Amino acid sequence: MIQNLIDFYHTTGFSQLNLPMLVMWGIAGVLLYLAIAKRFEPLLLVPIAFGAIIANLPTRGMITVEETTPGVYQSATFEIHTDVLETRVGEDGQVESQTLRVTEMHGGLYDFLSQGIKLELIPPLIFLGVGALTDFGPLIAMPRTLLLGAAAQAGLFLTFFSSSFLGFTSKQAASIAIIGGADGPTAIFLSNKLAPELLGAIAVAAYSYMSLVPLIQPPIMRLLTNHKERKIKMKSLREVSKLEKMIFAMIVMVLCVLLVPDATALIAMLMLGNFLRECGVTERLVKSAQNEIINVLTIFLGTSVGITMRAESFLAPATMKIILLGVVAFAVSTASGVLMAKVMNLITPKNPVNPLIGSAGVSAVPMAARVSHHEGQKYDPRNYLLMHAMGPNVAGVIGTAIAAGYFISVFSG
Amino acid sequence: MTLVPLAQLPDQPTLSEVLGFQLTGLIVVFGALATLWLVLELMGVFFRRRQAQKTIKKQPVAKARTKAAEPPAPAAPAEDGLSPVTVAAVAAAVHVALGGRPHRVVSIRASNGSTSWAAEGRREHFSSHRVR
Repeated sequence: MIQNLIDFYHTTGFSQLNLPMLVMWGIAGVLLYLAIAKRFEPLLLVPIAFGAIIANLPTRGMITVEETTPGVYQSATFEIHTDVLETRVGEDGQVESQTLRVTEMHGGLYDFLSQGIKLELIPPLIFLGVGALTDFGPLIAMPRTLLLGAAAQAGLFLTFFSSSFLGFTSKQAASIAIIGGADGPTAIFLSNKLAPELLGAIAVAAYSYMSLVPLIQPPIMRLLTNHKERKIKMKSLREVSKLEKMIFAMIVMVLCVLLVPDATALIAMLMLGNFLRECGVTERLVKSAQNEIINVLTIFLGTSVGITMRAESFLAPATMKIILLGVVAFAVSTASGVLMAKVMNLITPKNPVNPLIGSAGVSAVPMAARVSHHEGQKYDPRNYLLMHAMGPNVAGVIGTAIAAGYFISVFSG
Repeated sequence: MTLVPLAQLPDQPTLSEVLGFQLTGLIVVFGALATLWLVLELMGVFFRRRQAQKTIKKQPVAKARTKAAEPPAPAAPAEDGLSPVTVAAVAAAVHVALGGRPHRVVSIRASNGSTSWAAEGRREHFSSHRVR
């Protein structure tokens, strides 16, 4: 009787639980707390955290392939990694048989879902939705804010430097650096291409910091600006016609693809979504891109990323370094944007920009712009910076995609 | 400083290689966005001019419309006891309601005893639902 119970216990998942798994439950709990109680990027952190819990349970048919009868594995798609132990070659020089030892076996539901990341489908499709949701009008009305978006990419390159000297390979360093761009889909796209082994840690760091924008950015903004600068009122933006917005989408796509062809998937989908929005005759497609497509993909992207957070790969010293480097990248990007705004004011003092909008150069849309607006209102409640801050904010999206294209062009060859 | 050519950065680069790589990257990002800035400025100049020309063309018509939309004169309010502010507000409302079509306000009267407002309310209410 007792032996039966012991045998039964060994068939349950309880017998396979271990301490690292429990630690990962704790980490997932923190992410859920941030998402639900603090409302920090809940649309992404909830699926990521839930996926992380699934990844750290002794699941069946979720991450591994099920063996139906001895030696027969059934799954729509699966991947088996093996070591070749012995190879028998026939007289004609052809391989007759091989003895293999299975080292890794992927498959099941997760394998299906994660194909969207592995095949680099989901991030560009999310960009389609982002494009359909984004109004580039403020950027077109005040194009000099493109420089703020460019300056905010300085954090990426500085973090690449730091990562290289902390022992990461160049490809890994580039994947970590992109966290500074505060653009989740781009970070996933790049790390899947250059350093898939770090995908989970990079995605979690990127989305966590994006969710912590309201906590990370304001102290840096206050540190680098004085009272007078924070109260600068900017000139009203001119009205931008639909034709201008359509031409803009075409120009950005053509120019960026010509410059960095490796960023084509991201830039082209972003601008396709935006063109659909602005042309005014594809209302049904725009609605789908803005709602159904991006929502479904966000669920799959979030859980797929979460499921990569398995204890054995996530609880490693490298993850801690990535988390630290990520916050450095983010802080430097924020500071660079603010400082660039101050430099612009030195050059054109008659038409100044409020340096608080410089921090919106990181591409966490629209959270970073909202933070600039709220900070500005603290010092002058009648100062409305939101639309001005949207300029550098969307410029940051383009800038990060170009930087990612540059990294890919250097390292994927 | 010698820039590291693309696709030649090793896995463990030296300091000068990293600096060269970073500098190239910043130049690429700034170059791309600065080019976009220039293009957008040129585009802005063209579209602002176009807008200005449209405004000039529209002006005579707009003037005529304004003239037509003007209420009979401050004399009328004096007779009816309406303040100039009320007359201006009614004239503006009529102008908006008619979408700027030429018109002349000849009299302003209270709608006491009329059921027009109630009828309009009912019409709006019913038109907001699709009858199955």
